[in-house]
Amino acid sequence: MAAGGGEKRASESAALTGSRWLYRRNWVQIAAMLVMNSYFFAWAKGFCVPALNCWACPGAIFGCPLGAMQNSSISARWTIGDKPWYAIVPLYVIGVLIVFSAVFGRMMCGWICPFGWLQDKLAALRSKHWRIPKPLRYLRYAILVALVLVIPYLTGVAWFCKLCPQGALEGGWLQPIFNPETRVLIGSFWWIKQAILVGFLVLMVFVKRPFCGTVCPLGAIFSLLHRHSLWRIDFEADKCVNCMWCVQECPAGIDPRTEVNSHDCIGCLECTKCPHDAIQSRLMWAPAPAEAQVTEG
Amino acid sequence: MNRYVWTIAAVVGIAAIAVGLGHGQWAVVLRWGQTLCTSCIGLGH
Repeated sequence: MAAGGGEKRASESAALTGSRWLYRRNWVQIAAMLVMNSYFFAWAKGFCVPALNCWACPGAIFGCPLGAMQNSSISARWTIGDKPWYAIVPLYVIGVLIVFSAVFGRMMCGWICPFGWLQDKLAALRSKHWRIPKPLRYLRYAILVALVLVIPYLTGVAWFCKLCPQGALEGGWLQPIFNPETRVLIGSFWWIKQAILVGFLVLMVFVKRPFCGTVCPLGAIFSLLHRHSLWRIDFEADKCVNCMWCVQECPAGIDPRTEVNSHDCIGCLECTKCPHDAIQSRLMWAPAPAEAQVTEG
Repeated sequence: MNRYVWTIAAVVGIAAIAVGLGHGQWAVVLRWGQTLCTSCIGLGH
């Protein structure tokens, strides 16, 4: 792909359609990361931010929905039978995730997730990437059920947190740096967790968003409502000249011509910068372009 | 029908939040958030 020419055409196209703000996604991601870890006020940890941001990070101001769901599963071990179901099920956390995914689908993955931003930056080091085999993209649903819900309930241990590379980065590194008394706790498990992190960091250079595409249980939750969310993306086959620009640019490593609105789309809207205006976004109630085919992936 | 799924989901989500908050789940999540789980971040054995 002639990157320079394509970007220029995309820029002109976006400027014409009034979507200049799309070029600020990188800054939105950086701002979101800084706000989530700014330590303005600790009481906000009661609010679960709809992104993968470890609440054990010294600067984290919001709660982690996956951590909260695992703790709920662990608590259910001791309270099941004593309390009504609506007091045991983490309705508040689930409700927050449902509301965000109903309105935005997976856009949180593409716009505010700090780990997603890190994956975008590392993927930018190479121009060619391997594709994730389609069956592997369903692994995240199994991880959601197994490591976030069932195994924590059965074992009383938050197993997804124990293996989470974002926790290894934000909590595993920053706690020992800012809280020296925790350094004595560095042991063999810290090294295992760091090995998982390093494995993903290397993979991020060769595969676009490998963590989002295969492992992230939060992305799995958002995926469930993505195709029905308020935001829609339309592909107009008549305008497409198969230049592959969108395939090359897609941060999720999918083919937007057939997979926009699918469970693998992260709603970043990068593909809507299409030099030929073949891909456009709209709100659900806005009329679709006449020639648009709604791709379900 | 598909175009109303997000509305139904949003209403269900808001109802779930209201019930959860009514049972003090904000305070529960806040308590978890303010307790540093060292073993969760690899510190410990």
